[in-house]
Formats: sequence, structure tokens, C-alpha cells
Amino acid sequence: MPDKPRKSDEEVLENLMNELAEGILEISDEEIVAEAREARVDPDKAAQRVAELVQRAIEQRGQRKRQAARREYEATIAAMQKRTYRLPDDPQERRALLDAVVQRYPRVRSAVTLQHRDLTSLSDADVRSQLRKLQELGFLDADGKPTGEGE
Amino acid sequence: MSDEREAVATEEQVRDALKALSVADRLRLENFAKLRVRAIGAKAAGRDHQELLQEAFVAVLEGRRKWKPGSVSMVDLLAGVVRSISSHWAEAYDPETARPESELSNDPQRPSPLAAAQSDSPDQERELGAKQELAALLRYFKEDDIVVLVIEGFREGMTGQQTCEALGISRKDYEAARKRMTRYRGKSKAEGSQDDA
Repeated sequence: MPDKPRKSDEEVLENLMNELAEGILEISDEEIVAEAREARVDPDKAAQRVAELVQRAIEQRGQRKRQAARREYEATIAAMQKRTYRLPDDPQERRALLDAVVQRYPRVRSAVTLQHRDLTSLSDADVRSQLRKLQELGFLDADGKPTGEGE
Repeated sequence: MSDEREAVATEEQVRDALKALSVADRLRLENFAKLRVRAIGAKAAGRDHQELLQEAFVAVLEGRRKWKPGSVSMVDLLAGVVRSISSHWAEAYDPETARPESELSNDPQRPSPLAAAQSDSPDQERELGAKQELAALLRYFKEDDIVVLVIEGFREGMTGQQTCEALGISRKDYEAARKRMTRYRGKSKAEGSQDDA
């Protein structure tokens, strides 16, 4: 035997368990089921427990995805609120600006009117909010001027 | 051909493959995780094989461990993740914050070390528990030369394969000995408890 320090009982047991674990991966399906029965374990019950863990993992994954999406959304909103955009001071000019953008981009019109039915029904606060969103999306520059050529 | 082998599964494919694991594969993974947790003992810090498995499933679903269905089976991938997580638990173990193992273990095969001797540190307690478990195993296999040699090989710091090479044990005989020890554990557990949950 090589001249190495002898392992403690704990280390021997650890190696043994790891070796037995590797052995589990190499035995046939029939053997694993037979061994479970021999150990008085109901294979179907045991398999069901694992299926439940899979289900829990899937749910946990879904929950983490939703939390991540929520964090991303909140970060975007926070960034939007921090940014300063210039918009016309006059409410009429703001409404006219929104109108100009939706004329230039019909898809924007459908998105805005989908939410509000009719542009004329928008309050000034809604107009500001829509213009800020359009700035975020790049339809208006930071000075409140429409960008691009339109559709 | 090599593109197919290298293609990484989508999350949906991973989910479907996890749900489609056979009864034998689920049993295999459960036993594998139990033995890995048993191997690290108190270093699992109270976590059990179910937590280990669930963490592995989440890691694969999240894509932290990529699955290439063309080159590895889902079971082999999961076994690798279970190995890696349990090793990480053992490495991250801090004995300063550890609870005595007797508070954590519900393994009927593992006698309460504190009941047998006065011991005031988790290290001593673990060592004593391991001594008793090994002694019981060696008593049971006292006439099984290969098992005794394999354990002695571990004692000398060798792996199973190194022991076989050094002592001229065939792979087949080694695997058969490993199965006998696995069966012994299953039998002991069954005698200790009817419910192997």
C-alpha cells in the first residue's frame, strides 16, 4: 500500500457513499426497481415524490421569472421617472404634439386609441404620460421633437 | 451531426424531459441524491436529498447548467448537477455555525453518537457516528473479502478504481461488491424504518 496518511472513518464513509452513489447510476432499470422493493420502498410512491419535486422546481422557476420581470419593469419605470424630458409648457401644444406623432405613426395611434378610445377624451395628465412613453420609445427626442420620417 | 450534438435544449424541452423521467430514473436520482447527502453528512447543514434534487432541477430549468440532449442524457446531466451542488455544500460548510449532527439526522441506520458517548463537538460526533456505521458494515461483511479490501483501500486514500488496480480486483467483482453494500444499506434502512421518505 502507498505510504499515505490513513483516512479517518468519516472520510472512508464519505468515499464509500460517493462510490455507492456512482454505482446507482450504472445499474439497470430492473435492478433499481428490484432493489427498491427489497428495501421495502414502493417504487411508484418514491417516483411520485420526485415528480412532485420536479413540479415544485417548475413552479419556483416560474415564480423567479415573474419576480425578475417585475424587477425589470420597476427599474424601467424608475429610470423613466428619473429622466427629464422637455415637453411644451402649454397643454394645447402638448395635445397638438401627441396628435402630430400619432399622425406620423399610425401604429402609435392604434396603440393609444386602443387604450383611450379617442384622443380627445384624454386628460392633460394622460397626454403627458403618453408623450413621456413616446419619448422613452424614441418617437420623440429629449427636447420633445418628433423623430424619424414616420410610417 | 456535431451541430446536433452541441444543440442546447430550450427551457420547454428541459421541462418536458424532467416531467418524462421514468420511474427507474426518478428512483435512481433519489437514491443518488440520498447517498451524496449521506456522504457529506453534517456538512449538508441540515439540508436533505429533496432540497438537493430540487435545487438541481431548478438549476437545469434556469439554464445555469445547459442540457445538450444530443450528447448527454437528462439523468446524467442531473447527476452531475447533484454532484456539483453537494460538493459545493460541503465546501461551504462552516463548523462554527453547525448544529450537532444528532439534531439533523433522521437516518435510522445512523445511531445517535451522543447516546453512545459523551462528545461536545460536531467533529467528534461525526467521527464517532462514522466509526459506528463503518464498524457495523464491516461486521456484516466480515467474510466478504472484496468488501473488506475495498474499505481498506478507502482507508489508504484510494478510489474504488485504484483499489481494484492495486489489489487485482476485477471491475465486475468490484461492481458486485458495490451492489452488495447498496443492498445492505437498503436492508438496514428497511429494518430501521418502514417509511423510506
